Amino acid sequence: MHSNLHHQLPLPRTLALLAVFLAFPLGAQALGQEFYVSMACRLMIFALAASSLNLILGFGGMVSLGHAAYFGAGAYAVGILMQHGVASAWISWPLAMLVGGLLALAIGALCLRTRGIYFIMITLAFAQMVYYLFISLRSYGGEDGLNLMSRSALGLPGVDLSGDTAFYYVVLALLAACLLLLHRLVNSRFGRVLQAVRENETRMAAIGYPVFRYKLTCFAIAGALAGLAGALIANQNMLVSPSLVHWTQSGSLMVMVILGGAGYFWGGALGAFALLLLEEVLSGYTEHWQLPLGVLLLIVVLLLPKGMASLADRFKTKGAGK
Amino acid sequence: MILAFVVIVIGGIGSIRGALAGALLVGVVDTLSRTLLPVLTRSLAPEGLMADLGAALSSMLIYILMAAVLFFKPEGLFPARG
Repeated sequence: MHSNLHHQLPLPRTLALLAVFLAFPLGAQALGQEFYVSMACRLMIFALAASSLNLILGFGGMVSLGHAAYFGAGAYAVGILMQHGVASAWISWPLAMLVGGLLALAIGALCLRTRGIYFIMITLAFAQMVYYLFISLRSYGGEDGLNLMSRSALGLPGVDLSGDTAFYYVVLALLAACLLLLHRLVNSRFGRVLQAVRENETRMAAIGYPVFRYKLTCFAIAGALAGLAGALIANQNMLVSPSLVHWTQSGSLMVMVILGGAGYFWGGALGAFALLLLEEVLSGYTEHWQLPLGVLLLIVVLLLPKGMASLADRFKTKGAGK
Repeated sequence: MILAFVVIVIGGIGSIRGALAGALLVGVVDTLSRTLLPVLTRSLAPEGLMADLGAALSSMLIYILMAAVLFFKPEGLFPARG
């Protein structure tokens, strides 16, 4: 697929992007559009979740339809801890990552024995099990979900997460840190092995790489990042509901990754932004926004089968040809 | 729709016999567990977590069945020949 396994992160462009995001709340406040700060938060959280799915789907080649399980488990970890009076982000957020990671480790250890469509179905089965588990937890809201009394407390002087702007910067910092980590990861030896396994698993096994262990590690890392995204979305919505764990959530995360470009470093983030922005814009025009959204998605997928991130490749090869 | 997927995967993708057997299996397991499991857990513990667990477990059971089938026979119960 890619002749070059190295995924570049050009410094000037990345810094410019970061500067735009840093300035965004100030601009929104100056224009009196504070609503968009909260929306940008949501976009960034889903960008994190989709990027974590991109790690296993795009780089690991494991098409998992159960990503909402780790996402929702992270959210529930925060919600349940909050209900028991633990509001500190320093405890609940790492714990959400731990829960997501361990869940992914357990599910992955069972699922990675299967291949292809069977792998999709068995990850879906486990995600649905988690979904029904949370529905049955009546002491934690059951089908109605769990309201958070407040956002997690960071415990730093002068930082109050109940304000949207402060929360925005925390989410931005976490997203940037996670993307940096993912970038280091896919360009490391581990990432190279992972991409080679995606291309030809038998060959990698024959060379002597413990393929199963590499895939499982990748699965657990992605689960932990999804858990963190879940912890953030719980804080963003101030509500944890079983719909976060439903398989449609896994599906929309998958659509984001495929739309953005599976196996491209920016694929997850790009897809999340594109899908959620389209949703937002179209639902402003018509009540039946799903219809034009579906048509648009079809057009994008037909014209750019490798996702929106592959557009950059096209320009590059055209430039090199001349 | 999800239920139909479960049936196909349990029976084996591409296998007609498997679809029939899978459909019967899923139908019977789902209906029986929805009827019997809540009664069973309620008779064990009338109040609290156990009572809820029956209902949850009955919704989960077909997925547990599917996971178990895929774990032991990754190609489904009646793999398509050829």
